[in-house]
Amino acid sequence: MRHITDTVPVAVPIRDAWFSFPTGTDRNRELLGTVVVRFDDPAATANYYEISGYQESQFITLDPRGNAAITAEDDSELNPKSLVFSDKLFNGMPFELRASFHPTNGGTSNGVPFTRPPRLVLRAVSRAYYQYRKSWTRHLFNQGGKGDTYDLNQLLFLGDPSAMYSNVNGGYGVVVGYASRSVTLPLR
Amino acid sequence: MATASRNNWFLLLPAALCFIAPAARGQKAARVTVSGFVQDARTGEKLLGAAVYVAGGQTGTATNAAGFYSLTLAPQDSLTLTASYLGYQRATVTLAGRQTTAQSFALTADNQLQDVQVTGQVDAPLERRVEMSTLQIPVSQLRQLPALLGEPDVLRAFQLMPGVQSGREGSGALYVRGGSPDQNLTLLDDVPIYYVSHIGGFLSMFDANAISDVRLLKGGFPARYGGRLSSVLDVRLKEGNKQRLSGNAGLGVLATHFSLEGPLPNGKTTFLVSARRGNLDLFSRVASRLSSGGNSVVGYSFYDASLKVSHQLTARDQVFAAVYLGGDRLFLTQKPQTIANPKGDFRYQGESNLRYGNALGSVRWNRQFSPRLFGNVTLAATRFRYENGQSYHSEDDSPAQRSEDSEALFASGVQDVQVKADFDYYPSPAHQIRFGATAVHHVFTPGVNSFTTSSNTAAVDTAFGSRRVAAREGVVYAEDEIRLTTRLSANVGLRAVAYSVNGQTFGGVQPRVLATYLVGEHTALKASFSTMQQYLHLLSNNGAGLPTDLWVPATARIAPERARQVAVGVAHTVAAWGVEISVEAFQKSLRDLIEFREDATFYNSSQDWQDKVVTGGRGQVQGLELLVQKKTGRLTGWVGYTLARNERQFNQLNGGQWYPYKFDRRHDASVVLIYQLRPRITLSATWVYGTGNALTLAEANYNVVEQSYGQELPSNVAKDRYFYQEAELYGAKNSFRMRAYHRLDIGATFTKTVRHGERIWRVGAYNAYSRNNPYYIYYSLDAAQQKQLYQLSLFPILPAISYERSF
Repeated sequence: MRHITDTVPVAVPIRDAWFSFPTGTDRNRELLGTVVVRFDDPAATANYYEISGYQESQFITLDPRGNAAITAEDDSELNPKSLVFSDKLFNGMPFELRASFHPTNGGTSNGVPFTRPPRLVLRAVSRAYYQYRKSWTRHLFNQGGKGDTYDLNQLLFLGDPSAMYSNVNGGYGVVVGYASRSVTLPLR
Repeated sequence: MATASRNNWFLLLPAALCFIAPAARGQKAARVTVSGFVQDARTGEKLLGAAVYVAGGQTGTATNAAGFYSLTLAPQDSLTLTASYLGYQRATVTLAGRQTTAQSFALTADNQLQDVQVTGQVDAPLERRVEMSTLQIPVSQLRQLPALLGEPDVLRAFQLMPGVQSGREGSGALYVRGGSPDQNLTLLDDVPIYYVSHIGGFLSMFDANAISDVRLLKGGFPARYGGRLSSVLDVRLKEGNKQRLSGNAGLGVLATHFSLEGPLPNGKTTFLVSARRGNLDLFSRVASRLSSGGNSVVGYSFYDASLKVSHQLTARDQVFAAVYLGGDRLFLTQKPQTIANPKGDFRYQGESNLRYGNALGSVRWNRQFSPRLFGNVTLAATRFRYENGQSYHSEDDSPAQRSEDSEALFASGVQDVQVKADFDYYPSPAHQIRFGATAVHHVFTPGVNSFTTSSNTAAVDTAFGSRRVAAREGVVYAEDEIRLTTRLSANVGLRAVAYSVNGQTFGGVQPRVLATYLVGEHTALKASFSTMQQYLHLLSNNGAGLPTDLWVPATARIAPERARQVAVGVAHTVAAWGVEISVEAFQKSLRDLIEFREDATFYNSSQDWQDKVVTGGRGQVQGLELLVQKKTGRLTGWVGYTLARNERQFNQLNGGQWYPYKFDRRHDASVVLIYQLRPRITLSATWVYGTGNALTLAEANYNVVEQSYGQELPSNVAKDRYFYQEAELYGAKNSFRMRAYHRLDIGATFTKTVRHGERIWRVGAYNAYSRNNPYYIYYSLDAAQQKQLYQLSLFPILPAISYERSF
């Protein structure tokens, strides 16, 4: 019998969030949008967050160009599925994320490009959850990027195999907790 | 003031030597001394390591790094001296032997004679040189070897020597006797240079057209060298042709180069200027524009450039000034774009740049203080800088008038200012004493992130990361090359270092001993012992690919790395065939190594770099090396073989158990052949074989939740709330071996005399039999959905052609 404990953090409310579209194109001239989300980080504790976005039932990849807190996590080269970060650089301060995204659907209406509103999820996660997600991103990348990020060329740039984090003493896997808030983004 | 005095004590070391050393010239000469320089008759270029000996060959010396020699002998009626250098005709003079005399030699290169092949005997044979574990490849020979994509490479040629490995396919990095590339000290005209490769390691930063001499020491280190654990790569730039203006220009797949050298009208000054530019971005710019419809440009460019000026102040004084610049840039530029929108057009542009490179400047003063004392004083600055930045700008014409400007930059680097003084003192043929001192001021920037964002809704301006760290290093050394008997010679030295950082001072005395004992006429037994310390560390991402190197200092938490090496060997020359045979066995122990922690990330500079590494690592390397080298005749080249074992141990890795180093290679062999088919046609071939690299593989797997919707999406949208992926459970570190590596490269050089010079065509093929060498091994599913191991290979056969014109 093993006993594993983790603490579910208090949810952090989203203060403001919206999206704009279109706000750029990628190298294939496909239109990009931008999501913006703001929340206030509690000052008393070390906090960890995960932000992910969806359109319908599909994930959208968020590119947080130039965001200090997320760039400092050093995940961007590893094709993360979601943005996982700590409040180390903004403890107790308001936080704003601007991230571009590839819409999973869209079209034009009277010459105006449009896409369906994305849904954004902000999770306040435990430290164990944070460590698990960080190790998973590296672990998956160093396998050559399985799944929908599969890319053999990635093998040219990978490093040594990276073991998964576990809070199960003498075992593997994790027991972790999170509290989430989500919102469907209005267009601005 | 007292504190400042204490902190700057190390600056006094070289200065003090400059005053003390010349006192040696005041000693009474009980014997006569012949001294001077040995140089190339056609260009005036000094020849380093040329032999100068008295008729009979029992007494002699070799020129130093400035081409200077000094022989002190008993007075005699006449004295016959011979100077020789591989690839040159010997020169012999007879002098009156009762007075101290200045005598320089100008040797004529064999290739300026009718018979172009390298002729003659080896006049400073291996067994008589008081050195071991030292490799030298003449630049002329290096330029005839088959080259990856037609570009001769200074470093890559050394990978073909025993005890030196290449690491991964295509990499130009040197793994010397089991050490990692950061344990190699690379000196360009006595000044350290931090990053030595272009294109992530595929090409060295040294343009072969600007190099006069290059040698690699992998053990038996004389006391004048230090600061790294595993090797010294000593590269010398040409001084410039003293006789006439000359140069060359070339065009290849990989690079375009140009060099020019010659004398200035005053007759006392020469110059060399060389520049090289990578060609890869010329192709990628066009391709990326076409593929993106002009939206963006992607490319990789590199360059290097050298300028060296030397001036003869007096018959005994010469000064040099040199500048070297080299750098790489990987870039992606999004051109200004406009998206038409009835609500207001949207405009944006962006740019990403990865840049890294070296800058180096030095001023040197060579002075012959007396016939027996030669001095070299160097003032230099060297810098390595690494930057990874992105910028983005957008604006629109909507009623909200939105705009955003953002910039992100990660910067790291190291810069040194150093002053050093080195002296060679020749009191008698039985002693050649070298001594000197160096003072270095290092400034490390382990990694700083800066971000600025301004928009009409928010503004951010922040910077964080590891602080700049200053360190001071003072070194004194002395070594004596002693001829104890006619058969026994030794080089005995001491190197003392004090290194101060953040109030912490590290220090130590590093003893060095090398002995050679002649057994018979052409055979010598050799042995060496050396200790080395390294006061800076390289944090490098574990994989291949983009260069991501951060240099950091040893600190109170991260101790200096240490090494101890013992080597024994036999050297034998078969004089009639011009063949040198060397067998060496070595044992090297490494201490206080560091490694990136497995879960650490590279750019994350919100975390102190000292928290990202595991420390206290140990290494053990044992090896046996065989080198058979033929330096003269129509057929030249060598056969090399290394049998080695290379292991590491960290308490925090692999359960604390010893494991094979990633590039542990039990067998490593190379064959290099250069054949002078006709006076103007040279054929060459190299074949290499190596045991496969070590690799960690998964032995089991389990399912993990890769992503979960939880309750955040309505159930009618999120049908499956959990997505699973396989996580792997790894076996022992580096316990799996890839398949063996082998490859044949072939090349041919066609030289033709044309008006005002020569033209040279080089053709060749890398991996001539297109071997699928393993680069990486990975699991994947086959058609039957069964998991299989697959191999990724990089380069099939790569033909190359290049053109060069000299004048």
